[in-house]
Amino acid sequence: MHKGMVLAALCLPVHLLGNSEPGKDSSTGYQIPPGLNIVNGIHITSGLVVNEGFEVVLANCVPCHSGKLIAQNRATRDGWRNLIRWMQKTQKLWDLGDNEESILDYLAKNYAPAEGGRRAPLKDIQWYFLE
Amino acid sequence: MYPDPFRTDTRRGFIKKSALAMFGSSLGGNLLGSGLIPGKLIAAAFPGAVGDPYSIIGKNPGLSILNDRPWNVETPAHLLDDEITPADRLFIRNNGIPPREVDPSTWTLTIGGESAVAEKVFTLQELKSNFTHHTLQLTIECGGNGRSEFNPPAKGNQWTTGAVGCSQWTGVRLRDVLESAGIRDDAVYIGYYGKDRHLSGDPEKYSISRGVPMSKALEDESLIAWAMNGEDIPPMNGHPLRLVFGGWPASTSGKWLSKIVIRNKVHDGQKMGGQSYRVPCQPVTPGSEVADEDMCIIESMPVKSLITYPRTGAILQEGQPLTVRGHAWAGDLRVSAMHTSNDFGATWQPCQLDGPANRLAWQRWRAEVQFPGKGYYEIWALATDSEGVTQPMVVPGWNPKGYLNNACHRIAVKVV
Repeated sequence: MHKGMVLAALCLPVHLLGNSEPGKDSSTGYQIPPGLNIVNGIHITSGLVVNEGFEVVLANCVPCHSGKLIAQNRATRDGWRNLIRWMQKTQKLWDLGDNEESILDYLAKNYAPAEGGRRAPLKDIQWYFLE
Repeated sequence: MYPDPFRTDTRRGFIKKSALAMFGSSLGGNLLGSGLIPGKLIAAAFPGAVGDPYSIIGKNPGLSILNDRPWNVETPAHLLDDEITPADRLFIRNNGIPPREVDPSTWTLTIGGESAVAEKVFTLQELKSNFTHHTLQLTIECGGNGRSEFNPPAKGNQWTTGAVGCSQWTGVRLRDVLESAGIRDDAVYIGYYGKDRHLSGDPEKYSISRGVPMSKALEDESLIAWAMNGEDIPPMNGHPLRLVFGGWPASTSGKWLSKIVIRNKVHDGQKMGGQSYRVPCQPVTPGSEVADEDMCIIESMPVKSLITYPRTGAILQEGQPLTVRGHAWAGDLRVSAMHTSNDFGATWQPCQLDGPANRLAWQRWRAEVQFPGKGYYEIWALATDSEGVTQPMVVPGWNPKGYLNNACHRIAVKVV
């Protein structure tokens, strides 16, 4: 079922929907869900990148922990799979069935490790004049 | 009492019974808690479902929220400039769901375990009346502070530098309370249990139950505390009662404390075993898989320091001198020297270093820094402990869970 139908079924008042950027991502053909608060490709409520696989990650991961925990981590596809196995073994995560591959595709694509050395340059510096 | 923290505990059970749950069935999970429905609606349907902001009321808005379920919130270095960390600036590292309603008048602490002579139960009032009070400034730092710099990346909350603080704690000595129950000769460890629940909501599971060896438990500075900086402990920092072990991973300082067990073996509670709060017993190649039996429990934290003034990004006029200052700490040890560099570690200048307010409190340091001309500079801070060990300038030994990054703190400065 498409989530647009879910939202319609719940008869949401328009003012709850927030900003939305419905439409199609031209590079992937991914249909961006309507009715969500999305800014710069990030779903504000969950903190997750809105991209292919977003809905299934939202439905299976975010019920139990914050999307922000996903978004701040980086791992390879194998690393993410190991994490899913660990959650299944110790944290009561259910069997993801056919959704597992979609979830891994999404995580490996959007939250992959960056190449880097032993210590990265300082970043995000907000310069100010010190009196 | 304080406002309800978020409650993920009942959602799963509720959703199973909910007619609305069928909407999510085709995606294999449930949509209600997933954020597919806008946050305001979730908040209306499930108060506090998405990290209820009321539960961190009182914390400084400048803190960085790494995770809101459970709350993991760190303090930027420039907000840690106070000698005694104020309540609004002490980091939060929660593992589970904090207790929703706390009534200090009915709160009890049980002392038990196989190496206790007798099980004893104290009300909070009895703890306050029966034992001598002590007030100490104690440094507590999350074992994973600095995790964000490890590569390959380590999973978990990506702490930068702000999971540390040094507040003033008031309570009773753990030793006095343990001795009143009686400690058997075979005692080797204590373990704690708190009133926070597992994130899955399963009442049979503990979110965290760690501890320390008897040698640490019996130190003069090991406290069972009910007050921080002379007031109630903030809700997310363990109100109404917690352990405080200065210099050790803060995960040993159990919050919402309800039970302490004296063990005849290393405590085997949640997050004592496996890879949690453990590092490889021998250094390993970055990215290695390390078997559980080759991982050793972290005890005293390594020497470390922070630059708390100025905030990174300061622009100075040529010739303008810069005063820098911060704190340094060294686990169970004392900091014996402090240096800064403005040339990427090529040369180091000694700083003025104060003694600690008491053992296991951080130490204040300050220095005047000059610059040779215009340009981009970094101030690096390097502490040396009382055994002559210094902080590394690069990220120290990689470990699977990304603990113990005590690489020297750096701030950026421009001279124009």
